[in-house]
Amino acid sequence: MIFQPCSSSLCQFDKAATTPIIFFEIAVLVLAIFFIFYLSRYTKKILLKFFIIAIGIFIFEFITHPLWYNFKMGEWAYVYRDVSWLLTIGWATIILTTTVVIDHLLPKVRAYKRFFLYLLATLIIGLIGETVVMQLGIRSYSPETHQLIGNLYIPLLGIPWGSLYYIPVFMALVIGFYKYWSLVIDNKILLPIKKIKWGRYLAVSVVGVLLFEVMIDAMISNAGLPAWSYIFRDINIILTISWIIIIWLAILFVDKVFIHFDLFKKFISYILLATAIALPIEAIFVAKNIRIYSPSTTENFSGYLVPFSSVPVEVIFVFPFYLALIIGFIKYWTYTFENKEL
Amino acid sequence: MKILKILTGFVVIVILASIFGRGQGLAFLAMSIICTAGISLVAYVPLSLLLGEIVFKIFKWDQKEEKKLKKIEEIIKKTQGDDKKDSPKTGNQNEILTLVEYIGKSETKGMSKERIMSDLKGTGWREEDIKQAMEIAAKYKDSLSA
Repeated sequence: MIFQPCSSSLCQFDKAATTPIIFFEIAVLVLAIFFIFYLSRYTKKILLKFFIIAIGIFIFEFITHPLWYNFKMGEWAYVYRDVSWLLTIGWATIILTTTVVIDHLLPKVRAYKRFFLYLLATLIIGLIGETVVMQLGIRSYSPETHQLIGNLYIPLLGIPWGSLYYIPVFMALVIGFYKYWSLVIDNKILLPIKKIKWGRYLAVSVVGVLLFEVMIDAMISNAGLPAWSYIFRDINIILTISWIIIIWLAILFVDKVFIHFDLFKKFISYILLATAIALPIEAIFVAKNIRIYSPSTTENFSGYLVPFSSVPVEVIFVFPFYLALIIGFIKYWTYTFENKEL
Repeated sequence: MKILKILTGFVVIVILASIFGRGQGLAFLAMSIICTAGISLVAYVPLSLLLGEIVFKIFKWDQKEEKKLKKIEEIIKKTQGDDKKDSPKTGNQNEILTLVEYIGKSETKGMSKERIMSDLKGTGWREEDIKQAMEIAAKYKDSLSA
């Protein structure tokens, strides 16, 4: 039998929603509908934009779901294990509202400055949201995440201090991804670049990859490499530099050789090229026990491996999505530097 | 273009599998491809193409733009063919195509030629390439905007 029903403990959690949680879910839906309707006067194709943000959030939640649990939301609320479409809609509403309002109020401020404002606003709203889901008993954390955050909670809010880091990183990647696609949706004219500033591309790639690596630190251990190469917890400079160089070169190659591609085709090309190079390397690292997935992560794996390798099949599906977020972030930032009108 | 439609359609399948799979859709999708050594793609690829076509139609991501690009491509080929004997060697076709498209769009939005020239020179383009692209864009303005 190819398909086995999920027997992991993450599929057997408490799904029964309490009355306050049902009210919370209704409030999320009502607010989403209200803001989409209200903000449609300030931006075109708002539904498509909302959909793109929701995809970005879903990718992030899908990749990082072993880090946190979302319980008691009702049978209807889940799409994959404990990943909930209602929380996806909630986060998408926060991002859509914040970006549209800031863009509307400060159209003349340079895009990169607005980006920091998005992060600040979404951090404040996100902290409130996290507090609500913690208080309702929806949100809890995996043992590995607990190990990292310890017992350090923000007074009054009752959420981990780590949220102050995780929320902006999550937001930076998803907003970067969304803003890249909003260039496509809004059919923006982007200056073609003949002489690419590769140093700038490299710097943005370092930021994108490093942020994400710290974020998923609890999901993967990097072992068996020289002691000097560990820079923070078990984040390894050799591995991180490998990912940065692969992504950076893939972007440079596509931008140079496929300069005539539109943003859609370029995005697909970046991901295909970077995946084609990075996946075999990941396979080698996994086979040599350099990359070790944490128990909460492997608990979600089906047990099937990619033929002739030790790579779990899930990694093949996750890898392009991981790259989609990071590359969206990197490319949006490079476009903001190259195009003053954005 | 077909590949893009297939990829888009596949994303739709992934989303549908997530929503209606009661938490198991994605695992089923992955298994059904990998455990059949890809044979199930015989069904998934046409289905993805069909869904991709629908998505492209709904969002108008769009045949019009594609046709326009093809037209520019043909024009450049023709122009470069005509000028081969007596004109200096200019940038490659993909680069000229990119420039023509950028110039066409910028002019439609009311940007002046001087501004376009200075912006492009600022990012490293050679003046002769920009001029050639401007000529093509001007010569075929009507057919490009059609």
